[in-house]
Amino acid sequence: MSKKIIFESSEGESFEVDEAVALECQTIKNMIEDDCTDGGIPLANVNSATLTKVIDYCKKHVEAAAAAEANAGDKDIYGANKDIELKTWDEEFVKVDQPLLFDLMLAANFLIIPGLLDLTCKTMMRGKTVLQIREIFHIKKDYTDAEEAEVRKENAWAFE
Amino acid sequence: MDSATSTIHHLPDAILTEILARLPLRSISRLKSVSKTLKATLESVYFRRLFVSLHKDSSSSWSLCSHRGKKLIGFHGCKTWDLPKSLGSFISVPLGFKFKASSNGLVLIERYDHDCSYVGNPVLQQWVKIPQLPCGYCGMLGLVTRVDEDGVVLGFKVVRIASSVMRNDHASYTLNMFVYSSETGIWTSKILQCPHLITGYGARATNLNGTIYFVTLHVPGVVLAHDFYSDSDQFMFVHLPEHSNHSNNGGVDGALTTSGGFVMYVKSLVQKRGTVLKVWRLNNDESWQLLCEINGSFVPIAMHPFDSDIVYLWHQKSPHHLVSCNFFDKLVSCNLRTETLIDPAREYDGVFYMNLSGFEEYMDEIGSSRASDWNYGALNGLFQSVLPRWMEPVPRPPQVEMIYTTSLPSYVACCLTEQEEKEE
Repeated sequence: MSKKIIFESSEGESFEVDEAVALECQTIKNMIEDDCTDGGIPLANVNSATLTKVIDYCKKHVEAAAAAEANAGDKDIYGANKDIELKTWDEEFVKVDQPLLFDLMLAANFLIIPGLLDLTCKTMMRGKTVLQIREIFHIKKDYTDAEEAEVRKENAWAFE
Repeated sequence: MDSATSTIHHLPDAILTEILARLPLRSISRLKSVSKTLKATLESVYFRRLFVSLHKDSSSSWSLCSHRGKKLIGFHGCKTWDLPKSLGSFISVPLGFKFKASSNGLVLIERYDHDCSYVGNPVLQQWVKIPQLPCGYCGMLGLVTRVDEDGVVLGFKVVRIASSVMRNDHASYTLNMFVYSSETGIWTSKILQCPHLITGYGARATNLNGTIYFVTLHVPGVVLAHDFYSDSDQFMFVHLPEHSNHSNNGGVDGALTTSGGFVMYVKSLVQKRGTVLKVWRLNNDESWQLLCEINGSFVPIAMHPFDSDIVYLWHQKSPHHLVSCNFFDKLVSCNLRTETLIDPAREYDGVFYMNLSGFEEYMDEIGSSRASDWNYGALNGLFQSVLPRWMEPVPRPPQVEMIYTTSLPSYVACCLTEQEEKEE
């Protein structure tokens, strides 16, 4: 029987996961190594909905890594096929509304899950216009229209 | 509230930076127009280092073009840049111009009459016009760049060969060269000592870390190298491996290229037991290390710029009957470590592009001009451009105005019309 780790969400709800799954989070990995996980880990800034998703993500990636290791013998030299299924899963995984996506991103940043952080950041910013970015992140436009046009011209390739 | 634009409160700047550094360079370029403050963050050294370290495992895009700018092979869609189209389609060579050299994402193009040349970054669409040399004809030797530890291009130099003059001792020559530096914005003369007569004619060059490596018809069987960021006035001479003096093509039947941070030499040799393709690496101690031998009649096309285990080969089964459309028969990439031939489209981390008909045309062209020696420089007439790991504007020489244009050909055509109007 593998060791279990207990997470506690901001609402006080408990989530029991395999240690292997918890190890996907660098922050938790450090805590386990320092042996300070007894009695559960309170995650005061991660709500239950987000935590459920985070655990789903870690579980899937632990399983995928184990499966890839088991099949290591038959993969071609580039390992071309092994990622496709997981990639598709990842794409489905982040089809969530904006606030949850944002919470996932913050959780990934706090728990240090590089794969999830990468995935959520890219999804978050995908296809966003300059205007939308200003709105989402509350960034004030400090350019004059002429200045903005100049910067746009210098970076015209990126707007193609 | 519309979910696409719902807003987030109290996001610390440090987290925003962490998020943005995970994006590809194309998104980062777009974000520069959000605000001045953000632009300053995105252009900071801190941000650049973070970006480079987060993207160190993903490869960069590259492409292979003919000297007329016809794109032949390309990998794009890398996570570092996220190019919307192949790198090759950014490189459009204006009519009457030739692709001459590339180095760390910069390319050098020159007009056939040698009077006009540009250095620029085709993706960022920034170009610098290189001023004309005050003296007459000088052959173009190449382009070198200086980069810092993150691969950021700090400056470039364009090198031309003027003349070779015998010295008073009648045993050696001085080679007069002209070097244009982006740091000064002027051409300066550089004189190198050389035991041989060298002209720009027939020189085939590649460059790495500020050094130009070239083979020339005048000095068969030798690679000449010079670091144009050094004060030395000497060439480095390295004898090519397995060079036969009886060969009648001046020792340029093999090809010099670079891969994984080393100079490589690829050559097809006819031996008793059949044709063998060999790949050597030039080590830092100036010795050649044989990396592999592959049996079979292949023409080397390119090496993977990052992975020295991969070489792209043209299969020479029926060079004059290029009718098959099955490209697996024609162009293969070979993993040197495992000696397996694979379909080049199965590359990792990126989108593979290949222009097979362009290739056939190109190979036909070489095949017909040099029917007796098919191996002659198939790779030498091709240009590999590789994007660096970070975008930095093209180094701007003092007093030179940067040209921003989405199409260099139309810019050049426009300049030409203006000039003609003035003359009238």
